[in-house]
Amino acid sequence: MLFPTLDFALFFLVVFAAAWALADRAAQRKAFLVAASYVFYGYWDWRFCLLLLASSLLNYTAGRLIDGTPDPRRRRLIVGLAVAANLAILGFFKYFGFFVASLNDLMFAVGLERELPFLEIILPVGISFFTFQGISYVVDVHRGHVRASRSLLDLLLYISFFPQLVAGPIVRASLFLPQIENRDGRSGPRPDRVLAATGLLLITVGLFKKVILANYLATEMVDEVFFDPYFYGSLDLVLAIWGYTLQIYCDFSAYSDIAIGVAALLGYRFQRNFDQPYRSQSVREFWRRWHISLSTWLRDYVYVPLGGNRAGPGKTQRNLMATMVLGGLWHGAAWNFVLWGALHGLAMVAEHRFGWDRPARAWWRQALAIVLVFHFVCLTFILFRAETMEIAGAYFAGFLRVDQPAEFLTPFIAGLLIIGLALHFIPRGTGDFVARGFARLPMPVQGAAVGVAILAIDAWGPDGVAPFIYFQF
Amino acid sequence: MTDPKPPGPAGTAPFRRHAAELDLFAGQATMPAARLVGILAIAAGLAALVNAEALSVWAIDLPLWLGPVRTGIVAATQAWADATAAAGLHTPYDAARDLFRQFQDWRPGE
Repeated sequence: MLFPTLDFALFFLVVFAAAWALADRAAQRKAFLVAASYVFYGYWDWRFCLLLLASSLLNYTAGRLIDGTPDPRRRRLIVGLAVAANLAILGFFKYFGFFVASLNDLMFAVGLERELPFLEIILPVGISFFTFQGISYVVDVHRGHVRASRSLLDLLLYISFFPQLVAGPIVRASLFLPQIENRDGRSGPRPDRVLAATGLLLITVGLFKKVILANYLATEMVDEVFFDPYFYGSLDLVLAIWGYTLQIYCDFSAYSDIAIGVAALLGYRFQRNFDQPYRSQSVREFWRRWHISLSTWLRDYVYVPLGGNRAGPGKTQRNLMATMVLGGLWHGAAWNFVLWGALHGLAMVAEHRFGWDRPARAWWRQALAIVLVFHFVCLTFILFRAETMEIAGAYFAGFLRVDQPAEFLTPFIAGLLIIGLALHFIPRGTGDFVARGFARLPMPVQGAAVGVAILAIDAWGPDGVAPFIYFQF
Repeated sequence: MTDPKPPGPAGTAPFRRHAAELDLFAGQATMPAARLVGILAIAAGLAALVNAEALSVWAIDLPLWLGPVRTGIVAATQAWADATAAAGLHTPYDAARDLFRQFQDWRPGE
């Protein structure tokens, strides 16, 4: 069930009405939201629900065992086994084919003719997201950052809550569980204090970014160019990679915006997942602004446990590289994602070594840094988007074909690119200002404004909606 | 990515600052859920009036095993779409769509 569809709109209206009708009955409300989340997830394939349930039970049991064990060695053993089990599930469904193919290639290269058999494994949507949530939960319980949930229902809701289930943000238990736990006989959001204005604004902006910007950039230019980059000249290739860089931002940040907005309308607060990433002046800053829930996850559960920056520059750089390579692999089971992560890691190592990540003072140096970082991100996204390394190579080689006229340089494409970039330079408080203004309007005007915005997006959008890019991860 | 200590519930100062930056809802106005129900009802009603066709297209895609329920929903949404079209309620939607398509296809000099 995709967010920008009538299916989801009707589903959400029913869930919204029932959830607030159950506001005074916390347990029933949570049970209802868990059931709704499983319906949402089962819409893709009901068998995935069993996997989601198994993952939740695994982490719930591990949390209870850690909580009930005073012996630090046993606690470490339990958390190690729980993390290994989570990674085994993820590894089987997501990386099995990749490892078999890589091993077969290696055996062929060294002259061995035997091939390991492939298995046809369907990748359950969102598995990387809910697995990372599960890992963060057991590790946080072990570290004492969050109490183990005594209620299975709470943990089922934490892992499966439908707004963030299939494409994030990766929500921490320390943020979500306190919002649903029973305390003083009462739990859950208060029906008299819904963060509706910001939630509605996020949903509307998210729909605009996905339905208009991301969809048209994909269908009108990016998909065609990446399908056959041999055919296009350098200007089209530049336009298309700018387009893809903005498309992936508009696509993924739209999902996060809608997820955060939907959760807010149901009474739950999530954190920002994107913060105008293409205005970054260093690659390090880019990762503080892009997919923040993943980059902070990698920081807290990979980079810091590896030693972070506490053991000298050499080990800091090694830890940065390892973290970014793993981050690349998280995105997809293919060498192009590994290379993409490694290039970002190398850039961060270079910034760390030469001090390039220090903020510039002069405006022109800031502008230059933004342009350079944006184009570094663009170039590495070629590896991210290309179906194969051959396509990626052809794309890079095509930059030398300077004699061909641009086919995609139209007012429409230029408009999409300009709006996509302009979103990164809107003053930070603009959203708050609009939300506060909206909150002061009379209720019929608020309803009409939301209705007109949704109708306009629907009227201007293409027929049909492509799945979100990050569903594949 | 260079926070020197593992961030706990209290965390380090940079961690707390970053966490505060990530809060989208700090200082935002709230409203009662009942008011939000009203807003969504008006928005949904407006959408159903101006683009009723979307409802009828959605109904046609309902699974066949719903049998007479599906038949009833398809007939009702189609009748609703016809009625709103006859009343001219689709006009602004269609006009906005046509105008956008013209811009989309515009090539200077052609």
